[in-house]
Amino acid sequence: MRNKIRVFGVIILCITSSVYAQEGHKGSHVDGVHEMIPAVTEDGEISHYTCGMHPSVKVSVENYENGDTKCPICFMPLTAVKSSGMRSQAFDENVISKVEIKARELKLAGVQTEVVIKRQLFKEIRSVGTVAYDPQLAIAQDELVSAIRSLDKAKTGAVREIADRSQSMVDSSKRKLLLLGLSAEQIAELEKSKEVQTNLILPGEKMWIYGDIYEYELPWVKKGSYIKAKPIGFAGEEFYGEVVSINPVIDPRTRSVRFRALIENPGSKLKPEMYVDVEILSKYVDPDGQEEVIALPKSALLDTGRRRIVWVNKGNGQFEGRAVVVGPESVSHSNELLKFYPVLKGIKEGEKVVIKGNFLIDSQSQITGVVASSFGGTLEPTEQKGSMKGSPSGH
Amino acid sequence: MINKIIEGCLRNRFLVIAAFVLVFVFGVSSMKNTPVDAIPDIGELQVIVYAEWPGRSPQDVEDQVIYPLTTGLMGTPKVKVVRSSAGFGFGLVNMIFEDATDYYWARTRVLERLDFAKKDMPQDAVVTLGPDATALGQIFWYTVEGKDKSLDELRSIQDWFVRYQLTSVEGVSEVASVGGYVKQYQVDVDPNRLNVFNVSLLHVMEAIKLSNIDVGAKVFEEGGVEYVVRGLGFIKSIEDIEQIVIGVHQGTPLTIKDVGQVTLGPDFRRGALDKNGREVTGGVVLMRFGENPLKVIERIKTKIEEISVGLPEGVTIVPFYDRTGLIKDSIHTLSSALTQEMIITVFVIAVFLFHLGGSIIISMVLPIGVLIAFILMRQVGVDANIMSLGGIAIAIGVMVDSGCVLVENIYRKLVEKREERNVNKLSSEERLNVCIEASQEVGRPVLFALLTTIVSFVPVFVLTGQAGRLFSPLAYTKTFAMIGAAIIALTLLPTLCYFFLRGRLRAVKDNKTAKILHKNYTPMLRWSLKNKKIVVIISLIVLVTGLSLGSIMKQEFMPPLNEGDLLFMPVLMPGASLTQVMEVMQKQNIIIKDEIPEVKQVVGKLGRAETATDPAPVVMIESIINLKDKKYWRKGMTREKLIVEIQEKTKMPGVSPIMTQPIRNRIDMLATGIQTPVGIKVFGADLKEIEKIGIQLEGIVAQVDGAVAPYAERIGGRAYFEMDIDREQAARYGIHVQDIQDLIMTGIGGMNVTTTVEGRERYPVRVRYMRELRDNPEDLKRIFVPTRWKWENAPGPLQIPLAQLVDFRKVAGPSMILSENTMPYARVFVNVDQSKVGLVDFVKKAQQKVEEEINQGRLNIPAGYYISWSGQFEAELESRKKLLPSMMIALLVILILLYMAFKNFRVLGILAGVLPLSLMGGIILLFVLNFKFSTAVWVGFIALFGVATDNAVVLLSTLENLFKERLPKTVEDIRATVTEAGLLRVRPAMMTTMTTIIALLPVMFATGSGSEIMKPMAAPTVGGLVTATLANLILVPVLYAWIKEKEIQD
Repeated sequence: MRNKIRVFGVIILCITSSVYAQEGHKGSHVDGVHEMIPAVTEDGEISHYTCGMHPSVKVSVENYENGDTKCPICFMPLTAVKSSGMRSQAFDENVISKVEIKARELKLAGVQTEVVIKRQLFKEIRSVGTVAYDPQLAIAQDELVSAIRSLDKAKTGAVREIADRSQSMVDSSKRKLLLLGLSAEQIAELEKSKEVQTNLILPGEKMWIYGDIYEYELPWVKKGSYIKAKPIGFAGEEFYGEVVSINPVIDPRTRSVRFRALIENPGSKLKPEMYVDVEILSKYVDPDGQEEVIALPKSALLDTGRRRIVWVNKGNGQFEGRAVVVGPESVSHSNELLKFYPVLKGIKEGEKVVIKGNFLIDSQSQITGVVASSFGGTLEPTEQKGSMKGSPSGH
Repeated sequence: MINKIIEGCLRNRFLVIAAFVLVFVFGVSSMKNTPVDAIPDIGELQVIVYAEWPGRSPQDVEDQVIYPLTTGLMGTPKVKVVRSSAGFGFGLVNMIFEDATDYYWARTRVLERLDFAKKDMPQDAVVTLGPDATALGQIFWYTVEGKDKSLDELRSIQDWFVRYQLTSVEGVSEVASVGGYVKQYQVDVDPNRLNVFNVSLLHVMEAIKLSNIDVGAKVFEEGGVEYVVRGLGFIKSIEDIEQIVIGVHQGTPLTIKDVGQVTLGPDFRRGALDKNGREVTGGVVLMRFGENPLKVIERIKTKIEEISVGLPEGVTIVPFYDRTGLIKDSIHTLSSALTQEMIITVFVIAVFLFHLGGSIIISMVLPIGVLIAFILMRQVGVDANIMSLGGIAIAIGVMVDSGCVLVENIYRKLVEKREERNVNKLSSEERLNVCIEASQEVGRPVLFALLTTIVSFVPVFVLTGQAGRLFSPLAYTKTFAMIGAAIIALTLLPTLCYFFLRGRLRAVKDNKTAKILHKNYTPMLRWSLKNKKIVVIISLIVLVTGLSLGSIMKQEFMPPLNEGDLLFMPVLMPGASLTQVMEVMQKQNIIIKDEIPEVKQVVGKLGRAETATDPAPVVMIESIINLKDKKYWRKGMTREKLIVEIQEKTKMPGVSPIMTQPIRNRIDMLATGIQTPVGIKVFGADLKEIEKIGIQLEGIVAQVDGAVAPYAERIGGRAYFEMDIDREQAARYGIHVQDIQDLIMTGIGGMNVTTTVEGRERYPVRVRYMRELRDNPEDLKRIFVPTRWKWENAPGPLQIPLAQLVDFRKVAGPSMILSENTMPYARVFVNVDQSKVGLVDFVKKAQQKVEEEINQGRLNIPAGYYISWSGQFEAELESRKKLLPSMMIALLVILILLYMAFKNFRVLGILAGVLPLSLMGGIILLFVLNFKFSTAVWVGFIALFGVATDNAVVLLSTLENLFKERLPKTVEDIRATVTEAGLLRVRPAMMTTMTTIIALLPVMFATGSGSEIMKPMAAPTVGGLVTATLANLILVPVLYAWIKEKEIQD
């Protein structure tokens, strides 16, 4: 009888254990139906498996073979990741990740690189303005000119009082002009030439443009900044000139500042009171005072909010991710459609940076790279609050 | 009672035959009307509520739409859990109902709630109930193509013509558009001009809104005629919009043209379609829940033919995914296996019985049995698919068993009777009596065999979750087939035997097959009876081998079903732009089409089709690859090699090349919850906090023994550009937050302000700032917000640049926010090394560990936060609760049945000793064929269990009967009696096992769609029956003799 019971035990054990083995693994091994076959090629062994959507998932080869073939988050099949043999390299400062990519894949991804060179860069500011119709200023200029003339006369005359009065008239006229926005140099020139700018009231070969810029743009607009005006009426036509003066006083209501620019007016097309779109190009000077700066093409920069990353092509399919510090977005001297960032730290002249396909390379670095990089991280508190606002960065 | 039924049937033979003719007709009609699909729907029963709020971030969608929506939807009856996800511009609420809830009842309940839940929605958020279709509903995808047509024209044809026509087809729930461009009137406003003319964007929007309406003004009469009066004012063209007046500026009217440009352009899109590397537009047809996909597709195709006439010249509708092929393929695989099985079975029976009439009678069981199964399927609501037809396929061999037993018995009795009476022909009355007697003799065993098979399948019925939904159709159909077979065996077969068992009936000893069997079997059995120990030792060795092989076998949930088409699913990192993903998709598709000769066509979709059943993000590409017929493939090319080749050739940095299959992927995409063995959900309102707790838990759980690579999900992943309003600055200029937000929303994001009505077609009119003035952070600074009030001396309201009002910043944010029962959660996924520790034990230990950490203050769970344990271990707990008792009950019932049959424990003991050995054969064959241990295999074993029991029972009952008759006293006598019993049973035993094994061979050698699921299910039976037969014919007599000999010696 005891034997029989034992035999019974065996049968029950057999069945129940097989059932358990099933139930236990049911969920964890929902593979199979997906035909995921890891791509194994001659180069490199599979170091681990990861998920395309969730790169921080890492499953060891052993676990994968034991059935962990799906992403725990999205249940998608995992992808094989091959070791690239640069696991233990020490990184230079600023280098946050390295990745190796085969030539065919590079071509397929449409990766393009560009050699970083030094360029003269300009900060571009858009504004609107009007072609000046400013009889007030013309009159004020006229006043100064006549005051100077009467002063000159009075100087030759004997009556001291008249000369003094004329002098004070000259001084007050100058103050008025200053307040109206003329610079000291302009006034000095006016004193010398004694010519009233009639183009303030009538079309001439050169015209004045009045425009407004805002407080936060103030550091970038300087006397002598290039200016380009596009009158709304003449589509496609551009008129060139430069900023001559900037009002010393800010408009308290709008926090804006008026600037004056003198532009060429071939054919007297520009008429007073015309509206113009204005682009101000202000020369970028780096903190050391250099005008020629390392210019990083805009499309080379991946800004995640946490870090700014540039991928550098080191040749032979090797790419290096660098954290960089850059200045404000600027345009090139020759073509303002080409946008750059002046590099303050992280990239040297002559290095090849990726300007197209860098998102893909960055993604790849999260899959195979040595250190997880930009996107796909945690919700850390943002360190860069307000860093994009207002003042030129990098100082 | 059984005896009465048998007798009644035999005495009313005409009625029986008439009844079966009716059954046949009814069966055929049931078979034709049963819905047919490839695989059963294993998704959870869920109703999806879909919320659309275009352009909003996941965070906004979660806070302002999904959260209020789920709070309102909570408390719907029979809901297991409410899960929700908020993505970019849309959100989904998945209401998971208890299994077996009526689908339409559930939808109605949700609709009731929805009415109430909608009340807190933002005005422009659109909340709808998802289509009444499941994951399996996407049965037909097509593209709308035309050579000279642009993508927006084709999309218009799809949206306004094709779509609604196809939706009208019976059985279609929804037709969703995907790809191409939705035409849109785009008013691109230049903020500088607004500034100059001193108008605001709101003025522009208002002006457009006020300029697009047709009205009616009743009638007037003239000369006895009634004229219907209309005022016409719908926008019909770009010029209409350009001429809309905004106001007056210094005496001249200021129109839209003065402040911006009006163009026709594409609406913002979150999905695109590409065919062989060229962008296209198309749609997907969703089949209504419970419909017959084959018929629906047929109707769709008819409809397409009908409407093709009405399509503009050169425009065609081209399908790129059509479920018909797969369904027909898999059904064909199974039906041809079924037919082959039937033919082979008839042949096997003929060999063993050596009587054509008898063989035909037995084989009648198969077609009629299958038809009865279909009748029952139709009544119970089980659809035809691989699994349910598979249930019939694995039943075939067993179905004929009872028939064999019955016919064999009648045959033998008839021969005996003839010999006894020494005549060549019996009278009708005598024949009838012999038939009744012989049938009654086996009536009980036949019924018993049926009961054991059904009872052994009880554990399959109680399976829950995916496995339950996958295998219960199989359990049902197998049971139905067995019931059908039993009914036929007890009613129709005796009647047929009466008619057809005539002519020359050979005695068993004259049967050639029997002779061969006896000649080989007798010495084998004699030797075994002498060398019992060796036999037992060999059996033990087999047992140990099987067990050890079983323990090292790999596991999987389900063997893969070959769906024919491939679904290539390259995925980019979260944050990739649509343009970038599009580029990847087009390049890959060109390569797949041009460089892989096996590919017929490839159509890729990125992002979503416009349906609630497609939550795919933009970074996900789903390319359906249609393959050419196998005969056009390169030599030596296999599906596996092809997959590797496609993945290799399309390899791109940063793109994960996932290869899956269309149906399977749909099911996965709509699955929610945690699918690892163990998971921890951290609930709480603040995403950062729950993420932090999750990461801490990841570290804690990793220390628990048996944990394999715990992983806490990271919620961030998308780049956000935030504009944080500086209230102090806004106050300085007298600007309200809403003023700034309106501008951000419309100026930067763009807003559809009105919809044109152009015949059947409707297109949005969108107002937005000019592209170059708003699509980069630098330009956003100079977007102007008008003040509400006029400053003194100012000509109009002041225009304040955005840079002076908000802080700009780039941050990482969530790409998807998940919540369950209204609470957001982060998940920690844990795999468990189950060779070290059981799941349930692991969870206990891990819970203790976490509690310890909390108590010691190392893990801080703030108020309002909590953690909950989830995952597949729940299923195990549930299984423990249900499966173990049900298996025990099944076993107990079988034992009770056996005891009732034998009334002694000795037989039970022998059975218990022999059965495990039968199972081992199955394990060994699985190992040899390199199958993994899956639920399918397990179901195969249950089937084997029933068959093996039956065979052993028949032999044991013969032994018992013979021993009762002979009462042998010596060892020699015992052995002789045992041998006699063995010889008596060897032919029927071999016949039943051979029919079962050989009947399954077509399944084992099948190659079409569906065979990959059926093979592992058939393998245990095939392999097991080999050892089972050996154990049955050798080990059972040996053990029996051993016990008897012991009894004498005592």
